[in-house]
Amino acid sequence: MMTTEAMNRSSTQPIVNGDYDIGAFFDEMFESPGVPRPHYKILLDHLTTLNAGTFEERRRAADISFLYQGITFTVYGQQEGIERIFPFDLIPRVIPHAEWDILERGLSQRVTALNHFLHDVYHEQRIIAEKRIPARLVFGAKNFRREMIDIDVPRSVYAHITGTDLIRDEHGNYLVLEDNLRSPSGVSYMLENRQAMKRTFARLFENYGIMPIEHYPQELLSTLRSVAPHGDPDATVVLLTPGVYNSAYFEHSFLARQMGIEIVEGRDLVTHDNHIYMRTTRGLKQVDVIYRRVDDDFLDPLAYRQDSLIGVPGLINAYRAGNVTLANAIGTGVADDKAIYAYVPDMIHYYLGEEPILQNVPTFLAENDLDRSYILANLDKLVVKSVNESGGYGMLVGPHATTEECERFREKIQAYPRDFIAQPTISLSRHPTYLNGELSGCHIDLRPYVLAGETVKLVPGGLTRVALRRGSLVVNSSQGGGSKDTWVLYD
Amino acid sequence: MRLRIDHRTTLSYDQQISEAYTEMRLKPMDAGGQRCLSFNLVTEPRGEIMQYLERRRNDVRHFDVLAPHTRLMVHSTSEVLTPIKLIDEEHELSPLDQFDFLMPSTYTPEDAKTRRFATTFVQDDARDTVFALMHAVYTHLKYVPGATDVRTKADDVLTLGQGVCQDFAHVMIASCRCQGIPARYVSGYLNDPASDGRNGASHAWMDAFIPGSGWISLDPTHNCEQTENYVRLAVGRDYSDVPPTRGVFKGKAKETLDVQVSVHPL
Repeated sequence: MMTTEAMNRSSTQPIVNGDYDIGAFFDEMFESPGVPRPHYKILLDHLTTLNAGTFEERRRAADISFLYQGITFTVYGQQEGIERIFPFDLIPRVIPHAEWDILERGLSQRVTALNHFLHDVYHEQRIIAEKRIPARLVFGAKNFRREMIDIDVPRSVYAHITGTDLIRDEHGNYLVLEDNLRSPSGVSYMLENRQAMKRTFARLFENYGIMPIEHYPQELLSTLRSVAPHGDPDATVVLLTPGVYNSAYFEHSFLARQMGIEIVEGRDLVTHDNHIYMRTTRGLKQVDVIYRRVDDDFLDPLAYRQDSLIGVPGLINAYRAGNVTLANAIGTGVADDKAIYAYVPDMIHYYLGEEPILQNVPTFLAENDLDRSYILANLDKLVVKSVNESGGYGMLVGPHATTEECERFREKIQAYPRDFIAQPTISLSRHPTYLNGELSGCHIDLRPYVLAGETVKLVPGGLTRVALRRGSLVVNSSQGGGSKDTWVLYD
Repeated sequence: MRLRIDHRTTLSYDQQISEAYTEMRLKPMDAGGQRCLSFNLVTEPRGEIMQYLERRRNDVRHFDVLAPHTRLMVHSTSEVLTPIKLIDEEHELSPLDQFDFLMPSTYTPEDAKTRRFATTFVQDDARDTVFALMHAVYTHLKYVPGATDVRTKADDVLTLGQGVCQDFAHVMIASCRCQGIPARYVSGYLNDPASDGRNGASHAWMDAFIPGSGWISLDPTHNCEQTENYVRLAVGRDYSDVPPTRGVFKGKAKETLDVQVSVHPL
């Protein structure tokens, strides 16, 4: 039969073949057609020995193990409760040590400056008084939390966990696309992807000097302990989740298990006389640090949304009194507002007196009259983003948008200029990815996780996200993206 | 003037509730020439009362009752020395106050109707504008208890043409802000010499910031400046920043509120 014959023929074909097209993009693996970059050579040699049949078998084995472990995510904006496997691509991304070294220094610098900024806007507001950033941008930010003013947080650290999204342009330059300082997710995929790769390509791990990432949960826990109230080294740390219906619930339970801490919902905690307690079978137990994966608005119905059923009444008062630490702190969202993002390089100059190691993507603020005229005249060429949304929601990709979509954004931008920014469409770098029996170039980004407590640290790599829809530039898991393991090599 | 305030709030429930958290802004401020001479707060059931000061020097007390109960009472008594008018202590606004007291807020949204209303009364001088607006609000709105509730916004009050002191204050604040004059909400008490001390003693009015001279305090409900009969409890962008009491509890009970306030000169 035709189909069987066709399948047999393709399954014996090598996955690396002459058809791979670099296109007009920066290709992570190939510097020119057929010529791999040095750090990819061992990997490519190995892939060349595989045919589609064997690769497909390994892929299925990896997929099944993901499904058994429940590594799925929920897609918002679609039918309620759709659980999907986070698509995983077996071709890893490789980063040479020297390159990582720059990223690590650049990200540490950035997160340090962002924490200075957060401390400043919630205390003296020097950067505003000295007119280095417009007051209205900060005070008008949806996530600027007035009640945080004059509250001192341990070690003056606000963003304990930051997920910064990096992309590479057509020349291979790394650029910061956005910082996520509220509840960045995805780190569980980074850890699980590594496990899957070790099972699938055990021999490759022996030949490549790949830096480990498995200690991330322990680093996270020591970061959380280092910001406990009164410097208590035996602090009780818990993870607060919105519950099983949250799209990242798998990650919450995974991280809690890995750190050996309790996972709790709002109803498991109770405030009494400005202290937070966990209800246990043996009575109430005091909680010192809460790694919370619940948004500010829902944390405390006494202070914020009274309709919140997932929060802990009185939590903010206990926090203000310094009896509990929240990670991340309340109000970190002001620093990942996409309009304020444009000022991060200025923050690095201002607070650290240093040149930014990593550059931003050029950004136009619709709030500024000149920028706005430019945005409105070039909607078909730009990516327009809503300043407070994350995860690829509320976004217009000009070159791929219909006229109606553009017009809808035009109206919104004119009505609410503070809520929008625009950036040129960057030709994201591409990475060979297994699609339908062969390698195809797909756009990728990188989200490293920066931990800040007593010190600022990163595990090498992060989550590489890949746009699996052909031609798509959106790599978010909620928008049909997948992920790859990320290998940072030893020197 | 030396005034004594007695303020009792009782919340009753038709079934048991538990884990009740209550926040109160009931202590007279030490600001604007006013001095709080004594303050005493008692709750039933009893709880440990905790305290913090907000950025704008509002005093907040709070307590929790975890055990089941059907009635919660908060009783405050205070003695306060009031000045004959607001004595302003700041002649320049911080960048945040400059923003907060000019921008629309929860109960004072920006809308075309308020803007049209406010424009009619613009004078050459900010101070004259503020007084003209106070008079306009006073004459345009009818004082009708029950016409609005605590969640009614300034633009709806203007459409309705009636409300209570909170609504008068909100409309005036929204009108000032439309004209570029920073304005804030004041929550407090009024000693009405004409009454027996029990009539409408809880009150709300507003402050307007006049460039070069500072805050002045005006009561659009009575068309006058703040006098020694006014006791200030808290200031904010609007009512939502400074409710005298605010709480949440666990349970499905229906809540009934009873408030008794009296203000007496000493």
